[in-house]
Amino acid sequence: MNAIEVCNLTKQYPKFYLDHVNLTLPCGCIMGFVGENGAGKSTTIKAILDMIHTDEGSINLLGATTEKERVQVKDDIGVVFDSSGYPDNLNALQVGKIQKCIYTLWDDEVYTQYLEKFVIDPKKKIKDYSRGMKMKLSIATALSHHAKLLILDEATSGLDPVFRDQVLDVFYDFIQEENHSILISSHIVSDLERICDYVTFIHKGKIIVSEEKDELLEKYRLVKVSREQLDELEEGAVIGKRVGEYGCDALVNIHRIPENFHTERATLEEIMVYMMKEE
Amino acid sequence: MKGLILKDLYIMRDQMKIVLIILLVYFILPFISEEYMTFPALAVIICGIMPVATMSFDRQSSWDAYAAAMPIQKSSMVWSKYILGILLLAAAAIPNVLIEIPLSTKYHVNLSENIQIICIAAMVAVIYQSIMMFLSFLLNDPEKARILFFILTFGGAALVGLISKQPWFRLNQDMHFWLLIFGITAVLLFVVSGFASAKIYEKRDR
Repeated sequence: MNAIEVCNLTKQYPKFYLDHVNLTLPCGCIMGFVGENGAGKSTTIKAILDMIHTDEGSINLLGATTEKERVQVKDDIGVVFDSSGYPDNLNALQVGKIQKCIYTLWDDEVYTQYLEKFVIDPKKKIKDYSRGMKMKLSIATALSHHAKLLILDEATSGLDPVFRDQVLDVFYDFIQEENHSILISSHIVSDLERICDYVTFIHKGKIIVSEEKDELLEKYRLVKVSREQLDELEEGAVIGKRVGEYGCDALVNIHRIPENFHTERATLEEIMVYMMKEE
Repeated sequence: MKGLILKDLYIMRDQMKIVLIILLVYFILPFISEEYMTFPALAVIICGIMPVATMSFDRQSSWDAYAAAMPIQKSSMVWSKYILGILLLAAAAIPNVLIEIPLSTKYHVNLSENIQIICIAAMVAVIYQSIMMFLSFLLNDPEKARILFFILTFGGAALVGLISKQPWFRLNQDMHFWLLIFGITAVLLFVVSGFASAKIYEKRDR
């Protein structure tokens, strides 16, 4: 069973169109969901969680295909958004008590452990937290009810590099369970490169690519060539290019270029930038 | 729903301190003055309308969006506010009714008349709740409802106090009849408001 299956998801806004998005997250995997600001990442995640009505398409979330069923399976889903969500005059202790009433598998012991690990004062009011601390609290609550699926929308933004590293380790531990999965959207592509099994790029409401990370990194390479050499390549070989005064940098499909071409490995970030530039 | 009500009670903790001060004044005032009936009416109305104030906090923190990711039915998000309103109303009205028993003896006033005033105040609060909750969900802007809250709260309390002083306001057959009509109207309005608000909320993107 796949953790998430999105098929032909469509949503029309006055100035934005989510265009037949297809996305599949296999069980036991981490998928990085990448795109520029306004690409449609949050809209897609909101649609998956039934926060918005969609015009077309189907969503299967942990086997639940209707909105009514999806309310029930949310008991097995931990979600982190880029804002805290809890009213500012509450504290972490009160948040824990509220969550205990909402989630059937809420675990006070695990929650307390995460509060200690993340150095969160349980009696301090949320309004006195920094942005990073609010994010830590959200992550702690998402991990404290034995969820099977984590959906993280810009969960690591606003975190210092040391803590971000710690959180990524926590996510990596979470995924060691066979039936655990993570969908993580982020601008920090280097984080995703470190932990993800699958990567999906979205640009202006359309999915550009959705593949296994290792395949992506293997398939797309960087070349530095002259304009003439670039023009000689077959159609479809060049995914994106940057033309300079003295030559071109291009992202190419390694299976469509001559074998003698010297290529360099590209990072996920570079692949994303070249792909989205061309679109 | 229990979690939603608990969240709102935590939010209102600071606001409840003001209400408790008002209630404390009410408990002291009867021992000083016979003219005390406006205060229980005010306390009941304020308690009854407080759930609307929690919606402002929810809006500020984008709670609705966060709660959408939880195993909570959309209808529960609406009905928890209405149930909270009834619970607060009961928490204000019941002690007021109980304290009327010794006070009516002390001041030789008609106990049932004073209890009727508290019931009227409760019904007024239910009507206010019904209208303002509905408007808050319809407009998706509890701040506009808050302006109404201040106008109608003091207006409503003054109205109840005024009614209680009128010479025609005495127990008779007609008053009982009109009280019954008023009570049924309040209950019906409450139920219709709740269902209408739930329908509106169901259709809204969060």
